[in-house]
Amino acid sequence: MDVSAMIPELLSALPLTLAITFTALIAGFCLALIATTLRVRRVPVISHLVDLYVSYARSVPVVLQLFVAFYGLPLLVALFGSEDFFSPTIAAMVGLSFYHGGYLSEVMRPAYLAVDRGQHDAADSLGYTFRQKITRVVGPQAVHFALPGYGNSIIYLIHNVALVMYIGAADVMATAHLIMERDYNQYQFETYLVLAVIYSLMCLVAWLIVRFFELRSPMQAPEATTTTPIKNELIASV
Amino acid sequence: MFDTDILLPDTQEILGAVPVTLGMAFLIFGLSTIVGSIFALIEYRRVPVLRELIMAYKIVFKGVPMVIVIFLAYFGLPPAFQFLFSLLGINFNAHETPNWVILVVAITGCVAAFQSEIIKGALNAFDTGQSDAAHSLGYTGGQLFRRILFPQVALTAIPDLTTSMMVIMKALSLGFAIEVVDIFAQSQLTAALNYYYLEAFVIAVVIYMVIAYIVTQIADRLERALRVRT
Amino acid sequence: MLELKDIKLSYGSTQVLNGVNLSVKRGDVVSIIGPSGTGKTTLLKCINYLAKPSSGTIAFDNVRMDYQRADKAAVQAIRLRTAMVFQQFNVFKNMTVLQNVMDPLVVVQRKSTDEAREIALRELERVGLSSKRDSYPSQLSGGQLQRTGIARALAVRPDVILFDEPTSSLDPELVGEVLKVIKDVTSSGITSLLVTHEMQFAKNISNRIVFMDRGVVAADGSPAEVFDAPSSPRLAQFLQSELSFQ
Ligand SMILES: Nc1ncnc2c1ncn2[C@@H]1O[C@H](COP(=O)(O)OP(=O)(O)OP(=O)(O)O)[C@@H](O)[C@H]1O
Ligand SMILES: [Mg+2]
Repeated sequence: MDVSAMIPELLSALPLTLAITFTALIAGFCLALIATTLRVRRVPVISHLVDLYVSYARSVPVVLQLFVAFYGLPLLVALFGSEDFFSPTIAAMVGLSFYHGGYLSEVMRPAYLAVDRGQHDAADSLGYTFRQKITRVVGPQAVHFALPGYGNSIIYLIHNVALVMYIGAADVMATAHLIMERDYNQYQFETYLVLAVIYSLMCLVAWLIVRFFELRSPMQAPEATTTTPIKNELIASV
Repeated sequence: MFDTDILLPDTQEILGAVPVTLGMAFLIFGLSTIVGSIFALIEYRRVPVLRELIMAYKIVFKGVPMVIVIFLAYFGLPPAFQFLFSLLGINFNAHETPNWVILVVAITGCVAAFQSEIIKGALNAFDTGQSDAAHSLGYTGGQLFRRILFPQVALTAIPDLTTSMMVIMKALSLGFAIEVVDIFAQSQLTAALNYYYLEAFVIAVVIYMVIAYIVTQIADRLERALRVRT
Repeated sequence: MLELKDIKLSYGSTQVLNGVNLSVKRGDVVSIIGPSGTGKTTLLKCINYLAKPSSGTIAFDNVRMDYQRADKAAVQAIRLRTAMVFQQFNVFKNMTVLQNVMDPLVVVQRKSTDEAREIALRELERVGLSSKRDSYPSQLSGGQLQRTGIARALAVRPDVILFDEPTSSLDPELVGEVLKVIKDVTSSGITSLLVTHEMQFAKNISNRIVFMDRGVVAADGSPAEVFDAPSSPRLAQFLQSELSFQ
C-alpha cells in the first residue's frame, strides 16, 4: 500500500496538534509555577487545595481529565455568560494545561527543595531581596535540577495530546481515523505505525531541545552529574 | 445538577467496575514486574546483544504514546498469534483473542520498559560490598539473593512500584478504545445511558483519587514496616 | 559598634542560645571558641538574621532592633553592613568565581558592571584566585571555594565580617592557604568575628577570645587571659582537649 500518500494529509493536522501542545506547555508551566510557589510557601488552606489539584492531575487518567474539561467547561463558561466561546479544541487545551501543570509542579517542587539551604543563607546574608534571590541564585539552580524531569513531562504531554480526538478535537490522530474509515479500514496497522513514527519524532525533537539546555547548564560538572539530588519518575504518565 | 437520585445509582454502577479494573491492574503489575526484572538482570549482568535490544525496546516504548501501542496490539497481535500457532501446528483461531487480553499484553509491554528501569535503579543502589561479605561468609548465590539482595532491592523499589501501579490503573482507561470496560469506560457507559455526563465523570474522578490515596497509604505502611525489619 | 543583648533562641524544645551578651568595638578581631553544638554558628547567624531569636536586642552603630519586633529595614541595613563567610562555603553554584564576587555589587549595591568588575578583580587578586575567575564552583577545590567566599564577602566592603568555621570543612592540606588569607584580612583592620576550632590561629590573630558553652558566653577576654589562665574548669578542659587534639 502507499503509506506515503497519507502522510501529507496527516501532517495537515499537525499545526492543531502543535497548537494544543504549546498552549498546554505554556499555560501548564504558569500553573505549575503558581502551584509550586503556593506549596513551598505553605500558605494555609490554599496550599491544601493546591495539593488536591496536584493529586487530581496525577492520579486521574488524562482521558478522564479531558472529558471533565469537555463537560465541565461549558458550565463554567455559562456562569460567566459568554456562550459561543467553546470548542473541543479549547477543552483539550484547558484539560491538558491543568494536567501538565499538576504534573510539572511535582517536578518543580523537589527541584526547588533540592537547592542547598546554604545558597539561601548566602544570598540573604548579602542582602538579596526574595525576588533577587529566586531569579539570580535559587531559580537557576532549581532549573538545572528540574531539566531532566521537565524533559519527561514534555514527552508525556505529547503522548497525551494523542488522546484529544476522544473529545472531538481534529488532531493528527483524529485525521488518521478519518483516513482509515475512508480507506475501508484496510490499512489500520500501517496507519498506526506511521502515527507511532510521527509521535516518536516529536518526542525526539522535544528531548533534544531539553538535552541541549541540560548540557549547556554551567552546573553540569563531573561530580554534579553523578549525584543528582532529586529522583525523576521513570514511568510514563497517562 | 448533582442530584442524589442520579449520583447514588451512578456511583453504584461505576463502583461495579472497580474489581475488574483492579484485577487487570494486578495482573499487568505482576507480568510487567517479571518481564521488567528479566530485562533489568540482563542489563545488570551486561549480557551482550540482548542488552542492546532491550535498550532499543525502551527507547521505542518511551517515544510511542500508549494509545497507539494499544491500537497496534489490537490490529497486530491476532495475526501474529495466528502465525505463531500455525507454525506450531495448533489449530486455534487467534482472531477471537478477547480484547482484554490484548489490552493486558499491550500495557504490560509498555510498563515493562519502565519497571526494568526501576528495578535496575534499585539493583544499582545495592552496594556490592554486602555480596562480597555474604560470599566470604559462604552464602550460596541463591541464599544471597533470597536473604540479602531481594529484600533490599524490593524495599528500595517500593515507592516507584507504587507509581507504576497507579500508572497501570490509569492506563487501563485507554481500554475503552477497544471496548474493554474499566472504571473510566463504565463511567462513560453510565453517562451515555442517562445523559448526566459530568456527574458520572466526577464520580469516576473521586474513585480514582480515593484509590490513589489508598494505594499510597498501603505502600507507605509497607515500606515503613519493612524498613524497621532491615 | 555591635552590641548583642540577652539573645535567646530555641529550635523546637532545645534551647540553643540562652541569653547571650556580646559587644564588639570597631577594629576588634574576636574569636569565638567552644564545644560543638553550643550555638556559635547560630549566634553569628543571629547578627544577620539568618537565625531568628525569640528575644533579645541588637545595636549596630545607629541601627537598633528588638528581635521580638524585627523589621525588614533594620535587618536589611545590618545585612548590607556585614558579610558572612560560611563553613560550607555557600558559593553560588550557578555562577563563575568572578560572577559570584560581582553579583552582590551589581544586584544589591547597584554598582555599574564595570565598577563591580574592577572591585571583584581586585579582591580576587587579594585572595590569589585571579587565574580561576572564570571557573565554576564544581571545578574548584574546597580551599579555592572558601577563598571565593572570602573575596565575595570583602567585595561588599562590610563594616564587620563574620567567619563561621571557615576551615573546618577543608582537607587538612588546604587549611593553610585559607588561614593565610584570613590573617591578611583581619590584620587589615576590618572588624571581624571568627568562629573557629583552630586554637593556635585564634590566639595569634585575635585581640579578644570569647568562650561559648551551653548557649551562653562563659568567658571573654584577651587571648592571654583566656588561654593562659582559664577562668573555669570547663574552659580548661575544653582547651586541654582541643590542644591535645591538634
Ligand atoms: N536549623 C536547625 N534546626 C534544628 N536544630 C538546629 C538547627 N541548627 C542548629 N541546630 C541545633 O542547634 C545547636 C547549636 O547549633 P550550632 O550550629 O549553632 O552549634 P555550633 O556551636 O556552631 O557547633 P559546631 O562547632 O559543631 O559548628 C545544635 O545542637 C544543633 O543541632
Ligand atoms: Mg557551627
